[in-house]
Amino acid sequence: MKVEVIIRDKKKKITLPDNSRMKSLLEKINAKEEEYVFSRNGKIVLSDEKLKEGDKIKLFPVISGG
Amino acid sequence: MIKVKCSLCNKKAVIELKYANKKLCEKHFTLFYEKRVRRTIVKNSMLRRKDKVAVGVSGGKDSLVLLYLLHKMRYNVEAVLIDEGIKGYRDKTIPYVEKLCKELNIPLHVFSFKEEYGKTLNETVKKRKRPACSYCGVFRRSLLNKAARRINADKLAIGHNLDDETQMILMNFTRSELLRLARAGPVVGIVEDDRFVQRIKPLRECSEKENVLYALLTGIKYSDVECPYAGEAFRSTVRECLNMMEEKHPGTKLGILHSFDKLLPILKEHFQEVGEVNACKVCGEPTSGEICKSCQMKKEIT
Ligand SMILES: [Zn+2]
Ligand SMILES: [Zn+2]
Repeated sequence: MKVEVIIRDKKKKITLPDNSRMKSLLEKINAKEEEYVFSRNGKIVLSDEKLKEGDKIKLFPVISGG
Repeated sequence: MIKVKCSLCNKKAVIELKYANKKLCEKHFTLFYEKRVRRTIVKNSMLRRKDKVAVGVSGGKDSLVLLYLLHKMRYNVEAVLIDEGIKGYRDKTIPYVEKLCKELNIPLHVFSFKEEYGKTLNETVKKRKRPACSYCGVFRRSLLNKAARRINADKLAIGHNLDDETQMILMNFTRSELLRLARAGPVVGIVEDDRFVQRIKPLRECSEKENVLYALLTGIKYSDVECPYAGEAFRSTVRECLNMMEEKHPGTKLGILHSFDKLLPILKEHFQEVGEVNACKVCGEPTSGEICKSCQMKKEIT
């Protein structure tokens, strides 16, 4: 399956095995869980969240100037 | 499909707080977060109801969350923004501050390096003898104090979070800068001198991640543009180290902060200089020496 990932203003399509969870997506793009808050289709979720084809995932970086 | 439930209700959890052994939904996280900030303020006697509070804002998540929350708690707040004149950075973050201030009807005061020191940070670093952040830090601090005084504020609130605080503690501890440690803490500048506006840190027990989540849940739009001047390398090492410890041993950061708080009275007794506060011979600002740090640095770059 494919999901769309948005970090800051950059968008990319990522291919994952069906029924993957957010955790696997983070691993795949080399993003550490503690460094991001993430949403799936506009809703904040935990890393156990199961993803579906066409999901829109947004990653909000935690580390940045206060 | 299994959903991870909030520890307090049946709703879906949006964050896991390992250090508190809790998973919380949107509503319960928001309540938990606000309660903690309120507790930090009360526990450290940071604010009185009649205080006028200058909130140092940058446009980033921490300072905007702080502004929003103090306003929500019905404190009398005004925003102060220091424009260092960093191209491609500050000009991008200012609109976020303007937007929130307008929405909440909070007065915003902008003070710039250019106006106060005759040079933007970009111009300053052309002649620099130290990393850009050293100048910036000293100028900012001095200007924030001036700004707060100019708007007749009783307190100056800054958005330092749990990560900033624990990094600062560990860095100073590692370098044996105990005098600096003795000067830090939840409320800074207890010196009875009306040229100093007391600085308070209401978000010091909230992690960066919690601040991001709170901003997203309350709809605060913030800038996450990073400053082009790379921060101190040692800080990144300390940050990584703390994050690793926190992950393996949840509660590490709060533990460090609370231990520091308990040590603070002892540190103050042993290390804080008792000398009186002088007026800087150049600019008149308060200083422990003859010429304030900010004027010494200004001299370096002219
Ligand atoms: Zn709940
Ligand atoms: Zn001076």
